[in-house]
Amino acid sequence: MNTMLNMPGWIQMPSQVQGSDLPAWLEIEKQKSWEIFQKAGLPTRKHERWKYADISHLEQAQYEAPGKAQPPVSAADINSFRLPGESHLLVLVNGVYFPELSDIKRLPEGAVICSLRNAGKQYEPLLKQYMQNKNTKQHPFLNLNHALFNDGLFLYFPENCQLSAPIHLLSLTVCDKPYVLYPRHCIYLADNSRVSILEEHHSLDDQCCLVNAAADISAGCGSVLDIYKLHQQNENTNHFSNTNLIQLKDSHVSITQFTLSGRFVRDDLNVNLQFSGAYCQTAGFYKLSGENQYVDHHIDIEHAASMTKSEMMYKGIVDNKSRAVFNGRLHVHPGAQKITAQQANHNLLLSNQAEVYSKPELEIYADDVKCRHGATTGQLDQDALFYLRSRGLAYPEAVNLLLQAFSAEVIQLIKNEDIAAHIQARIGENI
Amino acid sequence: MLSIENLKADIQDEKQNKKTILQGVNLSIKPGEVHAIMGPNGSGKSTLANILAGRDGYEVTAGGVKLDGQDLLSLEPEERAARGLFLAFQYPTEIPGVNNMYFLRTALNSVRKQKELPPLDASDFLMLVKDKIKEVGLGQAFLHRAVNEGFSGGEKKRNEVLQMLMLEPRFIILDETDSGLDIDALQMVGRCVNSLRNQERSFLVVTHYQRLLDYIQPDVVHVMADGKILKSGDKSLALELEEKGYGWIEREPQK
Repeated sequence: MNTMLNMPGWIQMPSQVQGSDLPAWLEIEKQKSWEIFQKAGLPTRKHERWKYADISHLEQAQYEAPGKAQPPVSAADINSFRLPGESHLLVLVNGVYFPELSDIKRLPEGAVICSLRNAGKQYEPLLKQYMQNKNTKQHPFLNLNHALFNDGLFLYFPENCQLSAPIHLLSLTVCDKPYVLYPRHCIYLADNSRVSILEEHHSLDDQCCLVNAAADISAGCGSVLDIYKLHQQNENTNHFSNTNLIQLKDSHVSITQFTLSGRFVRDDLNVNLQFSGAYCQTAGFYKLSGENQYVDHHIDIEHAASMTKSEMMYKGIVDNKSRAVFNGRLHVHPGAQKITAQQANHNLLLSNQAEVYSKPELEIYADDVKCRHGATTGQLDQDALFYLRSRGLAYPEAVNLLLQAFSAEVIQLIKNEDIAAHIQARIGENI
Repeated sequence: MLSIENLKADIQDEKQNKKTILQGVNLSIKPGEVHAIMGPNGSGKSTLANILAGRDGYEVTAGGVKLDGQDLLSLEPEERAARGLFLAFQYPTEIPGVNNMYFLRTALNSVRKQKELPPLDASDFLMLVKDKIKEVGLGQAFLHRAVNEGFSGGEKKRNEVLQMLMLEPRFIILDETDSGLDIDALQMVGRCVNSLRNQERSFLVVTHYQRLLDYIQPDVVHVMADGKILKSGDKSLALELEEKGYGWIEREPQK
């Protein structure tokens, strides 16, 4: 027995297979994931990928799984979150999909949206075809999710399925006790489909909670997928997210994350550009102002084929005693020529106790490659501040304008006007 | 309107050494007057302009400035703007991410609010700004760009003049607005300044060259060197300077 193993009491062995309604192969995968996880336990700061992540507050805490009781969420609660324009609304409460609170009546024929458990029954061949069960020691929280997930969402878009309205995935937490949630989502786009998704995370109370989410995404040939994530959970929420994205030929995927609150937010994005023409644009904006807030973006992009393209653009405003981490890794495989890749991380520090750790990594094993990276950490431009004030803007107004301007570069990446306005408004309130 | 009395000011250089820039400036500008300050590089002209606008980084060690009888130097930059002071910058700052039109509207409404006027609504503002941008010779596309970002030197100066026309300040300082401008732009500056000239409004024009003063006829010309005003006269002084340079004034015995 290894006594040094970092295994807090709230991590429970998965229940036995009997009575499960998941396919047998998936139960076996769960078991395998558990075995991999329990060998290493939770990461410590001795792990390179977790060097700046202090998760000691999770070790002492007590979390439990939510019961089966229906959480108290009404249609009125949901309405306040709806986008002004048309959208396909999916509501998740404590990681479980609630069709009765959702609105997917106008979904085109052939597109599938259901819970993961349902998909296991009705769409098992699709699930088996696409589902990635890639467990590595590098991603302990992913292994833990794969071992313990209860349910999640299954989204499938057939060939040439083009959604004109965005999918609005509203993920709410309602906790009467500190809960731990393990939602697992699968998003699969067949060839030439086109989808955009706004994924919002909110807490309806102040209870502390731990979300350990995972997503498998597969983008078929010529498909276009835009994902916008907005994190606005309470100051006691810990959110871990692992996304595995596989991109086929000529697929274009963008993932843009906005983190405006939360206690601890860790986002791992693993992108595999498997075939030529695949293009992935990842971006993020974070605004941290809490006593002890922490946001951490780890992005790994594999350029496994020639003529693939990637971009990372992360910007953040870090105030008070909060901390932000950016770790962007590009890996150009041998023989993968004509690669274009860009990495940027820019931070504004508003207090002298705030901290930023920025680490770009480039591993390039091909010679015909264009890669650029840049990172800056600085303070508000005093000349710009004076310029605005000399034209009559009061100090706080001038500061706000400059902070909003700093976020503009990331907001401009949002292609859907409704979503852009929605996120811009949330950032405006926050700044 | 504006009176500067024995103003002395220091700056700290990169090595944290104090350097005295203004060595006792005296200047009095009445309502409706246009004053020009000329002088060699490093004489303290821009420092004076920046201190009047309220830029940080200068330490006033003696003397003071009054605008309409009130102490100016204790006011924040935005309070000075609200009282009608405006500096057209020598090097206007680029502000990426801040839309020029939004900035102009926010600035105008901030100043109006401090004057207890209601904000201008979007359509009235649009009419006004489209009218004024024509006067300064910029295309409307400049309204949709970020403030000064990627503007040429001349376009930045035109944008400064646009702000002046929009805000209609009462005391206007032009800090080398003419430098780097072609003849057409110079005439535009002259036209815009002259259109604002009236009994209540005053100007302080900082320049190296007599040329701008062909378009903006000054009431008084001052020569500044080594942080002091050495000589004042009417506009013929500017012509004399153009002909003889600054050397003869610096060599003249001080009174």
